[in-house]
Amino acid sequence: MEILMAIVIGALFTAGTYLLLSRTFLRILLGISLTSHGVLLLLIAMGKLKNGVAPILHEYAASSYVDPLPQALILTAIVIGFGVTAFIIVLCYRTYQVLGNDDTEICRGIENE
Amino acid sequence: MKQEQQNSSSPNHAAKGNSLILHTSITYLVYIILLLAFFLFWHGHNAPGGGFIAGLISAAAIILLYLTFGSQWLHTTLTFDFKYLVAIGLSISLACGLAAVLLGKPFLTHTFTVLSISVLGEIELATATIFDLGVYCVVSGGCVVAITAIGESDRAKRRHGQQQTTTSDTNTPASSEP
Amino acid sequence: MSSNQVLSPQLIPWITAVLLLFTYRRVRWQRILSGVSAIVAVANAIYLLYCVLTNGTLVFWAGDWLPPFGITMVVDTFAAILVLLTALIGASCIFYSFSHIDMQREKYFYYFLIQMMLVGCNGAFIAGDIFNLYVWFEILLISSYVLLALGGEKKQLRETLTYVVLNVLASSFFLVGLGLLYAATGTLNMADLAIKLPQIENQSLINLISVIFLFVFGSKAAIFPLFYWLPHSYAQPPAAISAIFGGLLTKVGVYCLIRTFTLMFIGDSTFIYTLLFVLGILTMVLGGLGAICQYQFRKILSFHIISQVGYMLIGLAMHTTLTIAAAMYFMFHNIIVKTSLFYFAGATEEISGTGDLRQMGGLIHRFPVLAWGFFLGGVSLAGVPPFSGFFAKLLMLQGAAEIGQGWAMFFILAVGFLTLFSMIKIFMYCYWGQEKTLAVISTSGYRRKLISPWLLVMLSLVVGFASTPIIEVVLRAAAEISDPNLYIQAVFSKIN
Repeated sequence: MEILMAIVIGALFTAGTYLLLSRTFLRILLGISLTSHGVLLLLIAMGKLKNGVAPILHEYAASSYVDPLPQALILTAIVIGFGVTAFIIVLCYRTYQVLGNDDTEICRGIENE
Repeated sequence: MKQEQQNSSSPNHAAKGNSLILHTSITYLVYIILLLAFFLFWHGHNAPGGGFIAGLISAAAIILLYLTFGSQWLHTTLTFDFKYLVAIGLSISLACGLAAVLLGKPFLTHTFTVLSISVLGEIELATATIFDLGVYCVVSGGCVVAITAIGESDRAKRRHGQQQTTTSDTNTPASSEP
Repeated sequence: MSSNQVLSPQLIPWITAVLLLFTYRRVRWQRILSGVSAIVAVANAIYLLYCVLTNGTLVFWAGDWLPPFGITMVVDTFAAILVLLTALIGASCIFYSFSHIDMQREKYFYYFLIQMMLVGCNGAFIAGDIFNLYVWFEILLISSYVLLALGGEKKQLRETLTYVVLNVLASSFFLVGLGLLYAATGTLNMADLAIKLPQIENQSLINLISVIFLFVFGSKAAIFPLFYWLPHSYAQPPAAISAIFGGLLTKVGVYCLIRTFTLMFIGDSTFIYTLLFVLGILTMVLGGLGAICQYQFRKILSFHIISQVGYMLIGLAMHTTLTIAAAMYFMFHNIIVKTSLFYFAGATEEISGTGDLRQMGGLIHRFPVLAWGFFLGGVSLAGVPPFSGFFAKLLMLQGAAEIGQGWAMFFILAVGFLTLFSMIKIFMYCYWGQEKTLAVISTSGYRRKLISPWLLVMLSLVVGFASTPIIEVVLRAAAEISDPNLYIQAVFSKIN
């Protein structure tokens, strides 16, 4: 399971990096989201993968629960990532409107305007 | 040019292409979605669920309305400013934390009590739910504000675009603070 | 309960922010609220520092959950001084904004965002849990993104996009580092990590993790290979915003570097301290050299932020109590002076209508208060006695001499000359000499704008004159930082 997880995380990072290096805003945005999803999976994997009960206290033995901390971390990270992504979408859209283009190469060209 | 103006000022501008099926079904679906949100919210404090996803789902309901009937409709029907919802939510959560301070406990100390009502059985009431209510308001308000901001700017652009007036209102909206 | 006091520097801006959201349509109310809260925050921060100095490190356990499970907030002397400076800079920024920021921005949650940024800064300074630190960092960063983009001018939007993408990437690596730390130790509480990290056998793994954290905090603090985003993005927004960014934001990164590399990553430290030293020297020199070839007022100042972050880094890299104290003193001095210089830059740019030094000239004839204010700030930054900058460098030189770091001393002095050169260059081009006829001259409210920066320059002078007691406090803060056991004991004091 860990190996599968590692491969998935690696694939997400690869795709994310590739997209981040491209030139259009939308692809960069997608690259950011893919990378952050890779990070979230990494956090799950760091909390030791196992088939356990959801970490809400019931009558089970203490060892049968999964580790709640990575889940809490991931939830927080998702919330933050959600806010940031929403902001980046608005920002990209505004930049596109103002500059009339979504190509970072062309945007760089207005340096001495 | 005149036709363009007429188009954009007529109601249901954004909703023109939408089908009758969507129009009809949404009016019922919204209640079901909101009910689901309420269920998840109530379920949340001791089981999977909670204020955050409930907020997202209710925001989804409002955004569905927005997509179907257009922003004009939304402005005339839901005149409430969703920025205040964010403010209300933040103040509920903050007040919940500050209440503990007033009682001499550390900030954000929570407690719960079990009420037994004859018909309903035992109900567990926790102060964490109040905090979650704040989260719910912030998330649903923030989502709606963010998405309508994108939509509004697009509409403004389309209206002014033909007359070559640059949009002066290029401020980015406040992103939802998590 | 007194432990709630630890949270007060955060609660004040937080409550204000909520009130500001309710009154977002009324600029007048917003101004009154922010002004009052700024003054309350300064008073509270002074009281907090006083409490820390008399009672020692204060700890807050959120919701009464004990460490290492609950969230802890810790205020030691270092954090308390930074909280005070944050409050001061926040107040100066708010009062400067009254006459500087346009209505359009004020209506779009400007004051709210400033308050949220103060919440994030204070949170980062007092967080005792590394994940909590991440959360405060994000709050700080999200506010800074919006503040940078506010106004939506072409260049601004473009620079914001770069800034956001880089910071989001750095934040992702923060999470990666957190995950690896958790996998290695099973805890994220900083005091608990300080206990557990040195016990781990495979110290090269810990070195790897520490390099990830170096990357993360380094990209926020703008150290050598990661500073490329800073000069451009800090030169775009209004001066009040770039002042609070230049004064505070990079210092939060430096604070985190100092905190983590003196508390947690101390097991096998030669490698990491050597790395920090080399990076510090490179940051200093490249920042100083970068400033020389610039002719934009605020870009020169931005490059000097980078160069001065280098000083703090080498102070940390030499890791004796004296050099860490010097790094801290340098940080405090830099926060005050840098912010004031940005305010002067903003006032100058508004008067002359341009940020290009070559088009300015002779402003001293009509605006002597502005010109001399900048001059005092500039020489303070360059480290001329009796200003605070001189004592910061003196401490650093003493510390370097103590352990025989000749190279460090050489570069401290050399980069000092570079700084002096840049400041004199700005002064000569912009204020001195023949008066040039400028296309746009708007002098409205220019005297009111000079109140905040002049007060800060005076503060720098006071810090310089009263250096003996202040150095004592800073040495105490450095001694606390150098001994992780004090921190650990304070956090776990409720259990024992």
